[in-house]
Formats: sequence, C-alpha cells, structure tokens
Amino acid sequence: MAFDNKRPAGTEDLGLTREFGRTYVPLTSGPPRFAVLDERRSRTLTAWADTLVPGDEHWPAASAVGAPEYADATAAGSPVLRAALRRAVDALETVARRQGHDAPFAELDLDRRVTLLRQLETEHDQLFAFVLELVYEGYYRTGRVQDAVYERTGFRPEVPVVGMRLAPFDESRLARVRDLKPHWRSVDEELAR
Amino acid sequence: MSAEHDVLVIGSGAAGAAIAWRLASRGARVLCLEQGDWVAPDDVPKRSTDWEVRGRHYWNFSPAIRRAAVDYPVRNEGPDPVDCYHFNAVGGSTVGFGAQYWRLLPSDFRTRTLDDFGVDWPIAYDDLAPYYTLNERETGVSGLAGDPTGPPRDAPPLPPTSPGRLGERWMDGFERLGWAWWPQDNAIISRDYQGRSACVNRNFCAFGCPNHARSSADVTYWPKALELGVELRTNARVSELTLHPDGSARGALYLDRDGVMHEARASRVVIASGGLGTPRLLLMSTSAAHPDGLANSSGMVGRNFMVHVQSIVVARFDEPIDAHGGAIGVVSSRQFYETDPANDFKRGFIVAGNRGYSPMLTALQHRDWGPGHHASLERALNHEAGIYVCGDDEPEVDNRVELDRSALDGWGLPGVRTWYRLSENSRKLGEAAIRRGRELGEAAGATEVRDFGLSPILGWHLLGTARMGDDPATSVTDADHQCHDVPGLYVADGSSLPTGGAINPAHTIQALALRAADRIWEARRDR
Repeated sequence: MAFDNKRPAGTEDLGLTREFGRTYVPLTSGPPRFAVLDERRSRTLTAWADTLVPGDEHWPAASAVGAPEYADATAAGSPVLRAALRRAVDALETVARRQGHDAPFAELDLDRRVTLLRQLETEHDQLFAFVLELVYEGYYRTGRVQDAVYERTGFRPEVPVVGMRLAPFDESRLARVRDLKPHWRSVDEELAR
Repeated sequence: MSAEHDVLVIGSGAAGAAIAWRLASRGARVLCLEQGDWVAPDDVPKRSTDWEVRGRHYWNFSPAIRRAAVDYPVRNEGPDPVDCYHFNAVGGSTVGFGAQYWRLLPSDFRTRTLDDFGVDWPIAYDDLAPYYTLNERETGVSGLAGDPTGPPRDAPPLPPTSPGRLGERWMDGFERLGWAWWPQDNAIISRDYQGRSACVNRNFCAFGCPNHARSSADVTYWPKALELGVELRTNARVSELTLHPDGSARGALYLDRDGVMHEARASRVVIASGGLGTPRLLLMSTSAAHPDGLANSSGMVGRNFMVHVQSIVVARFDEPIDAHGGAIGVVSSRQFYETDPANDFKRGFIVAGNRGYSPMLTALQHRDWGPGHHASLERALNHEAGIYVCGDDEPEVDNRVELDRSALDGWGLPGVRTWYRLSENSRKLGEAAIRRGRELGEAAGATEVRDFGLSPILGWHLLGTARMGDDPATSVTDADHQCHDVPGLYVADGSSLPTGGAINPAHTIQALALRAADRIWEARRDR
C-alpha cells in the first residue's frame, strides 16, 4: 500500500517492491533454512535482522522466529530479489569495511551495528527498506510474536480471523443530530434563488 | 434477436455483476466474460493469521505490484502519479473493497450549474434514487435513514454496524465539534441476510471476508445471477470489440485461459471493466474506421481521469481502542460536503472515522527499527486509528488513461499508463479536508495527530474515463449509457461518472449499472 511504502521523489526505483506480488511464502512451508545466501552472508543477514528487531524479556528477536530465513525464502521466488538480497548484504559489509571495521558485521557490538545500518539506510535506502520489510513480515506473521503483540498491546491478532462481539449502535447517540435542519442543497431550491 | 445471447457483459465486478443479474431477472440471455477467476476460499487473506503478509504479496491492491497472471500492466506517471488499486476477479475490485457505501447528493449531479465545477450529469439524483434503494436491498446494506446531510430516503434493509469503543470516541468528537454526523452505510450485513451470516467484526475488510458478510459482488449478485441462467466465462480476456457492417456492436474477441481466440456475439454489448479496463478496451479496439479507438470521436475515451482527493489522518489515543475489531466504516460527517463560498476552493469532502491499524502495518508506518522498535510499536499499536477524508476531484482532460504498448500482459495485449496532476482546487480542498480530519482527532481525545498528506495519490476510486453526457463532443455515452458512436455498445461502470462527488463510489457504480440494465432491456426492440 502506498502509505507504508513512501520513497523520496526523484530517486531511482530499483523495482524491488514490484517483485513482491510474485513471491509469497506460506506459514506451512518447511523448516527454516537459507537458500539464496551462503553461510557467510546468512550470518550477516541474521545479525542485520536482530539489529532491526532485537529480543528482550517480552519480545523474541527476529532470528528466534525465523525472520532472516523467511526473508531469504521470499527472495528465492524472484531473480530480481535474489540478486537484491545478495547485493544488500554485500553493501552492508562494504560499508562496515569502509568504516574501518576488520571484523564481519555479525561480530560487531550492537551500537556499531546500529551505526552501520543507519549509514546503509542513507546510502542504499531501497536495499535497506527491502530487507526491513521482509524482516518485519517474517517477524509479525508468527504465532510467537502475535502472542507478544497481545500481551504487550492488547491488540488481539486472532480477531481478524475469527471475529469478536460488539454492542449494536445506540440510536440515543443521535439525539442532537437527528433534529438538525437539513444540511444539503436542493437543486431546485438553489436554482430558484 | 439472432445472436445466442441478448447481452454480452465484459467484466464481472461491481457493475457487471449488477447488470447481469438485473437483465437476467427481466428475462435476458446474458453472457459475461471475466478476465480473472473466482477467488479461491483459501486465498482469502483473513482465513489465515498471516493475512497481513498475504496482503502485501498476492493480494496486494496494486496491480503494478501484484502482477498476477490475470492482471495487465499498470504504470502511473505525471506530476502526481496515482497509486492505482484494482482487482481482476469475479466480483472485480469489490473483492478487496472496504464496503463503505454512500449515495451521492442531488448537488453532485449539477456541479457545473451550481458551482461552475466539472460538468453536469445527464441524469439527476431522483433518476438514480430508486436504483440506490434496489441496490441496498439486493446487496445487503447496513445503515440508518434520517441523516440530515442528505435528502429523505428509503431505510437501508439492515441496522447500522457496531461502532465499538473507537466509534464512541468519534461520536464524542463530532458532538464536541457540533458537526452533523451519522452512522455510515456499509455494504456489510449486520444481521443474517439472504442466506449469508452476519458480520462478526473482523475489521480490515479489504483483506477479504471469510464468512461473506461483506457484500462484495461475488457473494451478492453473482450467486443470484448464475441461478437465473447467466453464463459466466472466467479467464476470458477480451482483446477487441467487434462490429457489424453497419457499425453497430456485434460482440468481442477474447482469449481463453489457453490463449486461444474466440468471438462472443450478442445483440447488445456492455463494457463494465472499470476506470482503467474500460478505456483500455475501447482504445485497443482500433480499425480503419476507428483509428483512435472505438466510441472515441470525442477524444474523451481515457480522459477526465478522476480519483477523489483522499488522505488519512492518524489519531493516537492514550487509551486502547480495540483496533482489532469492527467494520472499517463507523460514523462519518458530511458537514463540509457542499460548496461554501467562504472557502478558497469549490465543492467539499467527507470526514469519516475509521478503525485502527494492524501490527505489521503499524511497524511499517513508523519504521522505528533497532533498540527502540518494540517500545515504538507498543506506543502506537492499539492506540492509533485512521480518519479518512475524501473530496471532490474536478474532471480535467489532461488527467488520463492511455495504452502502454511498451508493457504487455501475458497474451501480448498492451497495459495502461495513467497520467495525473492534482489540480490547485483539489490541493486546497485536500488540505482543508486534512485540517478538518485533524480537528476531529483532537476533539475525539487524541493526544497526537499526524497525516499522510496528499502524496502519493491514493487510487482506490478510478473514475470518469468514458463519461456519460448529453453532448457527443464531450462525452462517450448518452444518459442511457449507450455509446454516442456505436449503436448497441454500452459502458456502465466507474468510468461512466461525469463527476465523482466526495464519497466512496461503489454504491453509485452499482446503482448506475442497475439503471443501465433497465435502459438496455427497455430499448431492445428499437433495433
């Protein structure tokens, strides 16, 4: 939808969002594993995902619910997204090296990882957003996170699937507005003026 | 009538379904060609807890992202590109609609005369009112008569949908502001109706309704139409309209699911393919006699593309709002619907209190990643709700839908390119609508208010691209929906609207379709 995907006007569109329609990974797909990324890159993506969505005493980390593997599996459905995922991971490691880090991104502490991702977000906004969106998808679709959503916010994730009871409309609320004068224009009366 | 069918309907959406049912109920033999297919029950997103993910992939509202095999390419350009949304399926875009169901007002049909805005319609509110009533009965609409912001009307067949805790806040806000407001009509059944089960308040209506309480055309008109003998051919992609030697409509060429070409013939042909699909088909139907496309001697096919001036104001409340449940449309105001000479713009808008947001959409909107991610979500989710504003967008000839021959669908047919500029009037109107939306949020008790502004242009309502009118030089069809240039060829859908009013248009599109069906049937002996 437009309002969850705003990109600055005038920037080159890599066309990543347009690939989303042809990729969908069901909840019932097999055990999480990486297919697009090799072991080294998958470690980078896992650390990236856990930097975006860290765990705490209430919420699991992204990697604890398979969000990095979900991102990989989704990218696997599109040649464009496969290439983009590899490019995104390599771009992050390039930024890390350029900032003077000898160790891979995954071995840096949280503060450094956050700083590097902010740099990547500036330099490669679309690649960054692409990974962010897939990590969010892989995270919020899981039952474990939806349980945390309810416990921490009161939002009931089961309602859109099974529904809930609500009280009927109380017409006594209309006491004032029901007696208002007509608030619309009659064409005949307008033309008669 | 020598053809196998009396009427060929192209498109099975809001309009096509209503036309097919109405004609069949009067005794016509009807064939409908639909580019898409039935939505498989398991594909309805809200059958599954990962419905939000499904909604961003195969159920994406945007055909430019969804790019399903049944979709044609859509590219959006211009100074203010429209993010166009529609579906190709049995039921058309109603399979993904929010079911907010409004009648136009009498002034909407006379905007040129009253306000020097757009064009007058060739029909009046009173011509359409009986068809609004018929459509409310046949689709199943919940609401209440007595709204002081509209003329007297027949009562909807079902009582209003439930407001919930959030609806109470909107009502408090409207009352504090002293605005006229009313429970909103919804194409959602608040009680069991015509064999369907009542709404159970799942919210997020655009992601499908597993128990068919939302009155999309695939669960309202189509079962009844099929029972009356309408023949519906799915995966039938129309490539061109065909004519008799005398220039009248003969039928249409279409490709079946295997890409094999057929011709369907009928005594009357009705295009009901939507604000993008209808001009596309007319423009694809070129010949030596019609080099600029069929029914296009006026040059108006694809022109006057309107999308309404739309935005969303987000209000954050300190208390939880039960964001998970309820029909999207709750209570709304037409306080600012009519032209006010004190404004620096013409025409007006609605302000509608809607529902809350879902978890992933909330996270995507805020994009607060990193150590503060969870705190940000906990602060926003179940506390933020949307106020929808929708205003009148003047038809302008430069705003348009064209063929895009550089992007082809799966069978080699051209896609469409839209071009749109938000007019100065629309910009001022939109900014005023957003200000009023913010007022409502604050009056309802919100502690923070933000808005989406007017970019990108939200393209849920694709209108005006083959408009009806009395003058063949400035319109495509007459008041009975028959093309000025082609006897026996009709257009009845969102593209027919000369102006759009300031409301969600599905109800008007279906009322027009029902009326068009009657005009077609009553004219059958003229030829």
